[in-house]
Amino acid sequence: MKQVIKEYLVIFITLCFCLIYCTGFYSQQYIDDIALVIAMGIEEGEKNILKLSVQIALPSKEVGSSGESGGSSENSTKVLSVECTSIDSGINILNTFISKRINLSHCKAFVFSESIAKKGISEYVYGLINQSQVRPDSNIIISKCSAEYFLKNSKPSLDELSAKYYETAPSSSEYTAYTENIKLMDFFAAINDSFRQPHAILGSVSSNNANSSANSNSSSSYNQYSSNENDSNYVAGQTPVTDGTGIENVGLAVFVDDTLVGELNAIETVCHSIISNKLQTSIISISDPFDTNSTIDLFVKFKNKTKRKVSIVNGSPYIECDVSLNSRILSMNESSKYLDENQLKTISSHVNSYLEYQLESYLYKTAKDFKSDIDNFGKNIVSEFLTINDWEKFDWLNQYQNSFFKVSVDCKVNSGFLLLEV
Amino acid sequence: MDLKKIGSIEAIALILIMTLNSLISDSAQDIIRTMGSASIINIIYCTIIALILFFIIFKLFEKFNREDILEISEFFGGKILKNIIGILFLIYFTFISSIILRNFAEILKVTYFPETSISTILLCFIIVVYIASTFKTASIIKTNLIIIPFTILSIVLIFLATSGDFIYQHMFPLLGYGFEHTFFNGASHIFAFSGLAYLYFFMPNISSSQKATKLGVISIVVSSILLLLSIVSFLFGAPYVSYTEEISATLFIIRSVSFGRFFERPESLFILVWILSVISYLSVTIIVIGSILNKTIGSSNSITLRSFYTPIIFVCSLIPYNLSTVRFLQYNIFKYVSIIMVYIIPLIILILSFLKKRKLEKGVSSA
Repeated sequence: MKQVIKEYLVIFITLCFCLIYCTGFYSQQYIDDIALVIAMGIEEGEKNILKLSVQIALPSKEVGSSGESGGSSENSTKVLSVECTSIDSGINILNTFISKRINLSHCKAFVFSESIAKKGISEYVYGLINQSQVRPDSNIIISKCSAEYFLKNSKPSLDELSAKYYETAPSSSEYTAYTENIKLMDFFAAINDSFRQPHAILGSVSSNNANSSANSNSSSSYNQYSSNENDSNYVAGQTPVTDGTGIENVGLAVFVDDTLVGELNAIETVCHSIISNKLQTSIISISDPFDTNSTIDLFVKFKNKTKRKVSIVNGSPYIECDVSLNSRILSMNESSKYLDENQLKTISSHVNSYLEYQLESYLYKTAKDFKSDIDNFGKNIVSEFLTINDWEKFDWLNQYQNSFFKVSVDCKVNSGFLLLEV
Repeated sequence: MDLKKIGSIEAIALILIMTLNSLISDSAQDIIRTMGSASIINIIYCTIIALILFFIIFKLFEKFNREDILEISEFFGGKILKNIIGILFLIYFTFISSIILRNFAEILKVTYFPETSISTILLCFIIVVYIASTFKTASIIKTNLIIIPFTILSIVLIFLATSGDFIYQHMFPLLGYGFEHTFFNGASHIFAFSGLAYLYFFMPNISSSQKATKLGVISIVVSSILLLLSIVSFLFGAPYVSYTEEISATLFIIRSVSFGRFFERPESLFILVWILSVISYLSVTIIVIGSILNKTIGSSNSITLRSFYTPIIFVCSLIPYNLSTVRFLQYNIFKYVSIIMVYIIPLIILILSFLKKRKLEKGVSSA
């Protein structure tokens, strides 16, 4: 009997301990005491090293005054900025300004301005990774305008929760391939990798809304790549969306180590997705081979993953890519005959040469202009080396600029969707 | 020890709890940091070495009919040697358990309890282990058997969660930092199978020496698979761990995984399982320590001895000044001390005892 009582007593004491520690009273941090940051902006300061901006969620505004969901997303967040020497000291200053303690555990995006990215952002990335509150799956965005302006203009028009907006916005890459869902941890891993260079999401405020002279912290030096000839040639900040009241993530920012060296427009980002086997689906527009004044829109996805082969020819990397795609025609007019095998073959051949040209241009741009292997070709040649010393001596990341490419595309145009012929 | 027989699965679980806790304490990260891309080859190689050494050790154990390492030491060198070996293993188990406990407490402090003192966190563990030590050995072993599957599941889940982002080419260059580094310096990674040390003290509780050999082989193979799963998860999914030093690479990698959009931030669940695993590991170590004390002191009450010894682990885990001292001990001392205590000393004692036994038997037969 005594033994049974002893066992129950022990179980009781153990449970008491568990309960005490599960309640978490000791942390003394309640939801009302913290200010949840949903996005952080980092850029060069005018009077100090950094200008730190934080977008703080105002939960009471997000659910509406009556407590029902559906409140206006206008003013559901507040952006605060401070000039400071480091991220942590900036947060400290902001903590003294607001009545709540800033908490980064729900921060969904870290926005770096283009100008600071050109000087190198590794110290900020390492600093963020070092913080236990920061989630490694937060997105990393390079803003073509000032980071503060970017945050102030991130007003979701279709989402009620700003945090959800940041979470869902980069996922458009799954059906457009005009951007990529790049996380802080991916960027951190790429900085430390000897196979590849990092890249980040390219973002900006819609050009219709952007007050470029007043708000753009840096004049973009990459505008030569954008033209309005084709819908997929836009970069962030240039899409002609009529509402134009928000941010847009189009294209990619390319880095060498931690320094921004260039940007990719929408079609180049699609090429990147194809080469790096990340494409899910996308829509591309090509000129109509039967009518040079019109275009054909194609819904493309992989038939097989891109086969990549890297070899060393005369001391330079020779990279071969075999791209295999399936596509269906989205556009339709009265002369379309998508049951006609010859017409489909002509379109296929046209698509193949268009994509081969785009892919080769993209690859040469990354190698010759940017000198940055963001497609991770290093992994395709590393098996040729026996030891890490040999690999480090070869210095792939520097060798990549000497690469030459051969791309072959096999894009099979199947048919239209519901309408096959008119 | 207040235990007569121990089942096969329970014995395997006892050995595995040590391997799993060193995995939680990032032994896999240590291997990747030192071996680079050759980590997978290195572990396969170390598994083969560990199996060979284990076979030799247990073939010698078979000659002594279920006697444990202390009894065999007594046979060879009398009570003095038995006490010396007992004290050495006592120090070894205390050292290892203190380091693993302190390391895990530091992880908890940094990630969840930044404002709580390290002694408070350590005390929480020690109180539970103290309470557990008052229970019978069979209860602790059976509890360990319940916790083990969850801990294994956590390792497998990390592997599955990261497998989507695997870059298999990170296993190249195949020889890592070179042949010599991978196969000579890298041989020290047989420390990863140091859970075998428990088996030396549970020999009298296993039905036969042959069965102990079989259990040991299974344990080494399972430990090796778990180690490989961890290494593959890091090397293919998070190769930066070979260049950086994290508070816990395992926790680091879990923080970036999610199971769909509805089940995110799963690290708390993993931490919960690991807390139980660390407690179970400490409880099992306390059993072995109790058994050693029992035999060296000659006391019959192992439960009292265990309860008395638990606070010593708490004090020892407080000794390292900071995390850097813990990591130094873990990476530079733990490895080599484990090899000496788990492989070299038992092997020497067993060989010498076997020679003495054969000499005695020859003397008897010639007389």
